Amino acid sequence: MTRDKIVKIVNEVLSKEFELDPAAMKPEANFFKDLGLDSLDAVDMVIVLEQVFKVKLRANYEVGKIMTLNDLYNYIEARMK
Amino acid sequence: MADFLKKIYGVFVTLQASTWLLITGVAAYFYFFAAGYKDKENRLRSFLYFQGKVIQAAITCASGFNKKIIKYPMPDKPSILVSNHTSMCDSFVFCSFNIKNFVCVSKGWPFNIPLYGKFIKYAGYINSKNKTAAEIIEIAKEKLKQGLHVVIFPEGTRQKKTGRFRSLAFAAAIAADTYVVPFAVKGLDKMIPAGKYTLTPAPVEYVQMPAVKASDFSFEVGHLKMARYVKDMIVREIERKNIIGKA
Repeated sequence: MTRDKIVKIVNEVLSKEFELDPAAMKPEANFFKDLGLDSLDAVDMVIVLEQVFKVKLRANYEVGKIMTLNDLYNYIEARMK
Repeated sequence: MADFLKKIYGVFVTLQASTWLLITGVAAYFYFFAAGYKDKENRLRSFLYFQGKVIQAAITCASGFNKKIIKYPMPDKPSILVSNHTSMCDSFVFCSFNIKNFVCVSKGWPFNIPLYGKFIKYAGYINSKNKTAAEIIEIAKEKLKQGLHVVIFPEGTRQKKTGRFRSLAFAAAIAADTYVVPFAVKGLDKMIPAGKYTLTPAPVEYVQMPAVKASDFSFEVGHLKMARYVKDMIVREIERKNIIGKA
């Protein structure tokens, strides 16, 4: 899967499931400060993305370091390889 | 001229209610100071309920007695009560439904309000500041076990237009295997707009909708689906052309 496709899917899923404003979903946007997500949302986000991408995201401790959308795109891209 | 008279009427009602709340608040403060706050949770909740009734009476007067309350039967067990959040008086709406045994989940600042902050703290209200979602859910479960309803505003802060519903309230309901009771509050945003502290005459309507069973959503990330489902119920109710004639 290409990075562009990953970015598109992630943005679509997050704006639908978490009612995020697509205009605010810039790669550098921080999940907590800029997008207003909380700790429960972070856990839910991982589960929802696992279901969409059919890949285990929780298995890796680096998931806890994801702070921005760009971190998330990179992480998923790496896990999909 | 009519607008001016309405404004004067609103200020008059606000002053009367504020004076009463202040006098009883100070009296209660000295009472609890002398008697101690320990083991007085029930008494404090009764006092807050009484204050809520006074605020609702003021709202009824300010509405020109154009206040409607629609209710369905409450579930037979302690539940999570959720509502849209448009004004600073929303936490007192539940008093209009004669719901006495409840605690609210609030962010830090209400706990810093003189008198009131101390009352809600010792009445068992949950301060969500510096707590993780998991910690708040555990505390909410404890409160439900004690027989108390838990009020959560899923939008977190006041919003002019219904905002995103965070899923914590629904995760708590699923974890405790109880119900979520949705409430739609209409008109308080016009009566007490953000930044104003006097009542502006306007019709209001409170609607308690049928309870939603959390066990119907007890699948992975079911609380997210439940949050959207309940938000849709509330938004539909707010947008419904209602009996006070506002869309």
